[in-house]
Amino acid sequence: MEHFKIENLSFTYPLKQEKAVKSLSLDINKGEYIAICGRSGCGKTTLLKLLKPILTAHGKTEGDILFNKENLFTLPLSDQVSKIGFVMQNPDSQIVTDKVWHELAFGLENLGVDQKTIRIRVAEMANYFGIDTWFHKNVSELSGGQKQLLNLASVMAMQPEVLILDEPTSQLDPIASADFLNTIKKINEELGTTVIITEHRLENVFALSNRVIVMEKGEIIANDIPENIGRILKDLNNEMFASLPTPVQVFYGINGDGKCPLTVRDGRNWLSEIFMNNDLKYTSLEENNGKIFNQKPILEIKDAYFRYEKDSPDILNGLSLQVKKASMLAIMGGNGTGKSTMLKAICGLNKIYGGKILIDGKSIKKMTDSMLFTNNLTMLPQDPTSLFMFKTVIEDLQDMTDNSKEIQRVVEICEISDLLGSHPFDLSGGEIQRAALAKVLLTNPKILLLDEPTKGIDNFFKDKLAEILKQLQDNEVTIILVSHDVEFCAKYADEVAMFFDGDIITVNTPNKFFSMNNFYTTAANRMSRHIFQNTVVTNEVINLCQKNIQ
Amino acid sequence: MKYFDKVHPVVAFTYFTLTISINMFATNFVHLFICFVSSLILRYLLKKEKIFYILIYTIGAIIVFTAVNMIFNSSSSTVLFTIFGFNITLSLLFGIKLSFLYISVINLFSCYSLIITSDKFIFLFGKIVPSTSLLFCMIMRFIPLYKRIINHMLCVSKCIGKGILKGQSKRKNIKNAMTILSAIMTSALENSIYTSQAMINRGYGLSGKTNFAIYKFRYSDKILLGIVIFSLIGFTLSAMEDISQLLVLFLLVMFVSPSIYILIEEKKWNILKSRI
Repeated sequence: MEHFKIENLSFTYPLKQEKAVKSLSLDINKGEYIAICGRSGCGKTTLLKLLKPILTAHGKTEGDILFNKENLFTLPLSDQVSKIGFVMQNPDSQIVTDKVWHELAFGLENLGVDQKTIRIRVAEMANYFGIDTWFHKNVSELSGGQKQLLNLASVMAMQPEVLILDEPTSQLDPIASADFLNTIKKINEELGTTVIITEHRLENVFALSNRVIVMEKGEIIANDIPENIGRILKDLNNEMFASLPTPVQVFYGINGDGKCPLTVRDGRNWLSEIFMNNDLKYTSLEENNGKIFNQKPILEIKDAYFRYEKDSPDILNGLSLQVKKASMLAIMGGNGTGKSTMLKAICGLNKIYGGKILIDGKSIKKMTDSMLFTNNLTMLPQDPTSLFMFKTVIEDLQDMTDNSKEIQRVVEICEISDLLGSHPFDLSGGEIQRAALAKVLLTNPKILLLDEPTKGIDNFFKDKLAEILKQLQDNEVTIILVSHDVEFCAKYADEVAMFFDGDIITVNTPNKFFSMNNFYTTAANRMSRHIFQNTVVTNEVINLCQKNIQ
Repeated sequence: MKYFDKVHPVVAFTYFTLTISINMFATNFVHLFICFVSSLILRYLLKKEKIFYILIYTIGAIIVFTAVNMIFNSSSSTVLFTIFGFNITLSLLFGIKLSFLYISVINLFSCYSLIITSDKFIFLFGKIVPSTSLLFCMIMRFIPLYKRIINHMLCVSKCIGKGILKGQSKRKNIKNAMTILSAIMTSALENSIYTSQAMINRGYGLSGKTNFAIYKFRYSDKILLGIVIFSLIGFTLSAMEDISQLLVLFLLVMFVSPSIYILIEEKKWNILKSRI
């Protein structure tokens, strides 16, 4: 049965000629789990907000939406609020009140539900989502993942029939986002709630969803079960193909036939089947020892110790690290283990109580702030928006330096010439990241620290970011990045380090690092490790497969 | 803190408003002495401060208030009697009385702020002034949020050589700080649009908003409230009939009831704990 019936829907933002959503027709059935994807700016958020008219932006809407066979635009407000649940992107700004229990009750209070019913519903939600242990806490004490779970629970407390989620996990780390998406799946399966979700990390939702919709420039270009999406995108030669999960990419990369594998498990089985009867001629790639760098390290950390308070445990626990000039080092490790703390320690924002941090052989303790942060060291924070102080991007760049040639140079490197006039808050995740990088580069750094540079960015922008970073490396800039993004690190870093228990445990080339690991490795490696020895990146798997088939 | 914060907000609020208002209008030396001692006990039980610290603070305050009164109130310098060569004047006694008043009111207010937290306050007044109480609650949420954001912005801008830096001229530092402040204002406004959308999303603005609270009215709350109201009635009647001994008794009961409540709960918990 249809839940939403969208007919010929168009939407135009004020003062814009081009339509953000172009005569779009779509049926969404009850109990479906639908993933909508597309590059940023393709109109997916606009479409989601059209499905809940009180959230729709100002602009001209044409066409019809039927919700349960009734016109959505004339649906009573209280029905609209309670029956259509909407969870937004930013975990922090969605929270209204100061206590967890009050937040859970907020929607029900507005609907005028009585005390007794609220008490039951709140208790139910707290139990279902595992909130009971932090029920009495202040919201400021929660982690990002907990905050987003609270947002979900407080929407679910109103018992919606449809749950709409707009990139809910883009601000979360991989573990928290996997938890979150599993909860969504649980809601979908156990309660029969219709789920409509947008995601930029497609590999997470691809296998979970019943139907995937790919959008481009306000139009639907693919609308099918996940197994068929790969073929459609491949035939269209669309760049969204690069965002598909590894098994799908490998499958269509070697033009496989039969049913397309969606998960690593299916991918493994499928690979085994193909090569069941063949003797494998090639099982490993040629050894690649990586680039050889100037042996003198530019950054050296010797036995650094740091803790936040006198009685708290050590976050940096005898940390030692050497970074070679013009290399790109990726630091990986669990959540909340102190990777960001380490970056702040290198910047001198966290003062280490033992050990030494040397830049070019000089201790950072002996440098003044202006010496440290001009022409020397700089950090790009996790949320790049916080770097911007002015109304337009260009004003921000001009604030950094008077030299217009210099500005011209970074604008070209980061390819942001068409963003200069925009307000920083209007840019998408990938755009703001590049603009922020440009601003940071104006300090002319020798060492660039990046904290989670790929958070909230789609694959297309990731490749672009990597290109920019490579270009910087050619100009003798050393790059240290902290990331959860296994695929990104495997593809582009020169060296990968594992951070655990306040120290760097191992440093190796990505190829050796990931092919040695069992869990902490790329999907391509997990999928192919039973037949190939050291394939880490999707393209490597495709290459070896092709070689063997020929 | 452990036990009295579990008391229903209505009971706690009634207790504090009654005691604080009686205390402020009390003039009798004996009455004020009762207020003084009982508020000290309550403060000690709730805050668990060191006795030494409380003594120093109390005696210091008495000396200061008395001295100030003696200096500025020269009209009553008549010597009433002499103890060990000290001339006890009316202004000295008056000063001590006044210090009792001040100290006990301060103590009660500090206990009040500890017990009646923002969410309890909202619960109490949410029905009378719904929008203001929600605003209050949102402010309580924004304070830690913006504290974090400000810290973050300072760190971030420092890393690009633009924040408040050591070894940079004061003028430049102030200029940078102002820029950061304006950026925080901008992002706060931007966030508030987002938050308001989230509020509309969950039905804020529909008519007939109710107020939810998680407080339960327990048996012990009934007893405590009963005692406080009973002693209030007794207090008023005996004041009208002018029976001073009874009046003192009722005052005492009213003022020490929460302290006794805390002690009983503590004892009860200790017994229960021993059985676990």
